[in-house]
Amino acid sequence: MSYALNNPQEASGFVATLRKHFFATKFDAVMSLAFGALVIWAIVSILDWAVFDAVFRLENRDQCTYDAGACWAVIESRGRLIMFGLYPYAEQWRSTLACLVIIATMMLSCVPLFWSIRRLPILWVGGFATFVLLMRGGFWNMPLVTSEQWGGLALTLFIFSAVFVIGMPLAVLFALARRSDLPVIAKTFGLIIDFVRSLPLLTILFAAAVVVPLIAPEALQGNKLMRVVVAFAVFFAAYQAEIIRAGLQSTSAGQEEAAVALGMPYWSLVVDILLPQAFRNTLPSTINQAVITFKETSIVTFVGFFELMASGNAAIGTGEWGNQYVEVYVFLALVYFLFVFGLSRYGAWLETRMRLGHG
Amino acid sequence: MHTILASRRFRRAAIQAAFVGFILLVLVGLVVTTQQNIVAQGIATGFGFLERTTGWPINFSVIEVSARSTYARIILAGLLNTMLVGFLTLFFASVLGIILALLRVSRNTLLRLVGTTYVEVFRNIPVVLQVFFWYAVLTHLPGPKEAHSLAGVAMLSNRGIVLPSFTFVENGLVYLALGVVAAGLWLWFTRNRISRAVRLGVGLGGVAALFVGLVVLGYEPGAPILSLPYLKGLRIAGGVTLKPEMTALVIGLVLFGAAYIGEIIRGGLIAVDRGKLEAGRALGLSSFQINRLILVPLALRASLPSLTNQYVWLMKATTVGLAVGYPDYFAVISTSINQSGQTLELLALLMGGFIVLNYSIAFVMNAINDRIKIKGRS
Amino acid sequence: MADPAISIQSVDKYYGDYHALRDVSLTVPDGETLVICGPSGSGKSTLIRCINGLETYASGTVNVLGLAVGDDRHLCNLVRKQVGMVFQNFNLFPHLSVLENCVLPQIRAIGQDRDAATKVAMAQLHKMRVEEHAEKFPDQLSGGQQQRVALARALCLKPKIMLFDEPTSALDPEMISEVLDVMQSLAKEDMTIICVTHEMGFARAVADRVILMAEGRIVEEGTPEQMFTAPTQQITRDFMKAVHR
Repeated sequence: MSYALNNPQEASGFVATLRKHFFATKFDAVMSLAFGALVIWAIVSILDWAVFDAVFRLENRDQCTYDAGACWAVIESRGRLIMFGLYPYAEQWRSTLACLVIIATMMLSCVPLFWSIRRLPILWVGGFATFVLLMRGGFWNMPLVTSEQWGGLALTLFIFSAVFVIGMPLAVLFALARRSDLPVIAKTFGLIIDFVRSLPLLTILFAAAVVVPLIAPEALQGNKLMRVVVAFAVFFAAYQAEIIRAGLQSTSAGQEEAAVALGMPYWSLVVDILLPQAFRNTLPSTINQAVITFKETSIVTFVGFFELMASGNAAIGTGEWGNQYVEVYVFLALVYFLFVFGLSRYGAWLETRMRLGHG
Repeated sequence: MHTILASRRFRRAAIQAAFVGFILLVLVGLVVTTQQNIVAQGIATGFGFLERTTGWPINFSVIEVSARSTYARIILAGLLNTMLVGFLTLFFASVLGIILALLRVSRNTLLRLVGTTYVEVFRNIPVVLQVFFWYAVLTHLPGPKEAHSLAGVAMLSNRGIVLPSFTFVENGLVYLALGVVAAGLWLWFTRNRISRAVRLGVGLGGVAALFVGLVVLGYEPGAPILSLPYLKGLRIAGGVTLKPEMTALVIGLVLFGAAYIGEIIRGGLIAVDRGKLEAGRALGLSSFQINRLILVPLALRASLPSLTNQYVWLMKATTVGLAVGYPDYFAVISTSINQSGQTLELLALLMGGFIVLNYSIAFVMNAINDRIKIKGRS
Repeated sequence: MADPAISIQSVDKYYGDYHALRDVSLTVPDGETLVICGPSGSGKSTLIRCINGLETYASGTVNVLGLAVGDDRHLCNLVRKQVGMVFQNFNLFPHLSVLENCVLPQIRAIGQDRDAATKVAMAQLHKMRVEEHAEKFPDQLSGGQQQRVALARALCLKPKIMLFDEPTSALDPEMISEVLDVMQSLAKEDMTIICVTHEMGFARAVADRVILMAEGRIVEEGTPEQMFTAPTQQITRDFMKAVHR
């Protein structure tokens, strides 16, 4: 392996391009052939398993033997369980709609029209509230479905957006507090942030689920889902606070002075001047944090919630579909991949755009 | 009065005092509520329970444990399990990460494509899912009777991977590990003082001697020195068994971690100023020498801070072992909480353990960073 | 005699152990144009920043337009609404357009409504001859244009006193005059102006009084003519010679 440090004269044409990309040196040629063979073998095997030898429909279930291709029939049979968990069958349209609402909210957040300190929170709070109302029901002709019955992808999206909606304002609060020029407040919040960041997420969720009932009075406990979501939000806020703090630091001190000299109140300095710039400067890191959070929702399965990961495991179970774990896991992977890859691609695109022009 | 209230100094003091007061109020409230709840539920407090025997076993440990071990010993075993998986993961993920980074910056388009595909696939799937997947794969291997055999010396079955092993004295692997660490420290601290030949000789020789010594001490007449796995009745005996729990956890974490470490190292490679490499060429250094003497050292220094973060994160990620029943520190403590009810003390131990682990890793990495960083830049 | 616009009595300021202002006293009558000059580190910037409360001081008093600038936050705020400031580095808000830079402070600081604020802003931008850039963003403008926008922004609040902290020091030479021109026309109105600068030509043209500071003290003061042609202190002589190339 060596860097492309040389070759000022670049030949053109198909053969020359081929040579440059794949066969530049003897070593390169060997690697190309070896990896090429490997890649082709891998692609052919995967296609064979996943498509050509696969069984897609439930009615053909008997054709699913051990040696054949993928048995995608499991998706048709258990797909609803994976998507919606134990949500009542007749009401699953609500769950679908709610998921679409959140997805729409996420996509609208990418439109610069919404990038103001007032519109973005309204968009998210609105989207989130619509989601909860749809899922919970209890009015019009939508019967009540409590949060214990929420599951699958819908629960994953709920946890993700709840963490965002609660965690973001908290992160701003943490960041401002840590930057405060009142030393007691700055140091205390610094300790809190560093402490939370040094622990695994699972520990914090576990503490919220199991320990809080022991140390908090009845009135403040809430149900387990609420506790876990709030704990998750605090965890998110600790990481996001550091990102925001870095963004605040990169805005020059002179602007603060100008705002003070103009007699602008402190809240205006923060809301109109500092925060918009801090967020704009740290957008890629923020998106990255969102991506990580989406993946981390799978950890919630360990405190007993029936989100996407858990419902996938339930779909496999030990029953009739026990051997189709690969198909189910691949399906789960695809669902996660869709959201996570989409988000991170968007983040990369944003980063390029910001580097080239004015945000 | 108004003047006093509006006074800058007074306000600052007052706000801070109110804040401290509020925090104290919350803490006192929590303590009081906890006391009430503890009394109501009849739980004892204090760390005395650590000397009680647990009455339950764990399925894997580096040190000797059984259902009659004390809580203290079981918790220590859990901590060691976490460290074992953690260090294995860090090591293998780093190796794979380096390979990935090299693929990603290669001039060969095919290699770049392979690297990019790997990184995008493994980074965008949650690590929990990956660990579950590998565990399912390993537990769906055939039973011991139909176990796959690798070149006749290893066997794969749903009970685990059995590799050939030397028969060491009791806890021999732990001593060997300590020996390797000692050799590493030796090599590090004698970096610029003794000639390379002597250093390597002493280091490797010392480890080899330790190895031989451990085998000799564990020697039992009639038993083979190298133990190969073989089918014995319904199970596989001999050799050393890598249980599916640990194997799945390590494989999952390594594949996931390598994607991130690869990206960090790639960032470090890219961050090296091209001008330095050109200077090397102008001086007549070969490609290999440029890489070894200029590129790799500078790339390493550039990526060290991010690498530290990633290592700390990976160590915390071992808690995912709960997914597959691996008795890591977290799993052991949560079972202890269930069995003994000493929630607060155990939780404190849990948090304390992780904080200590994290700071240790960060401390070592920062020490290395300080030693090798380029002077003059902050 | 009317109350002086600014009255500074025996002000001391420390940065840690460093004695930045040593027992400084200064009275600025209404409508005066005052230029403060001196070697760097002399405390000139520190002094004018004490006037609008951007710096605190250890002892002494600062009275601006009859209000005490000090510990009292409420009074400080009132003072800032009457005192405008232009900085060496312009300090425009980069994420807002030029027009918005001038409109937002009016809305937030003095509670003006948007329409009225926009009218005032456009008028000031016109006076500073930068109105055609109203919809642009600060980093699309040259340094001289940015500084004029900064001046317009400060003037939108209709201050009675303007402070200038080395307004042309960060500008390329060809842009200095465009900024000094608008400052000169400002000086001709009866605004009280205090300007920290090295631009002696400006001082000569419009200053009523020139003060030289060194090592945290006021060393000498007088009319521009006196200071430039017949300074009494050695420090002043040395400084004028160094500046007058």
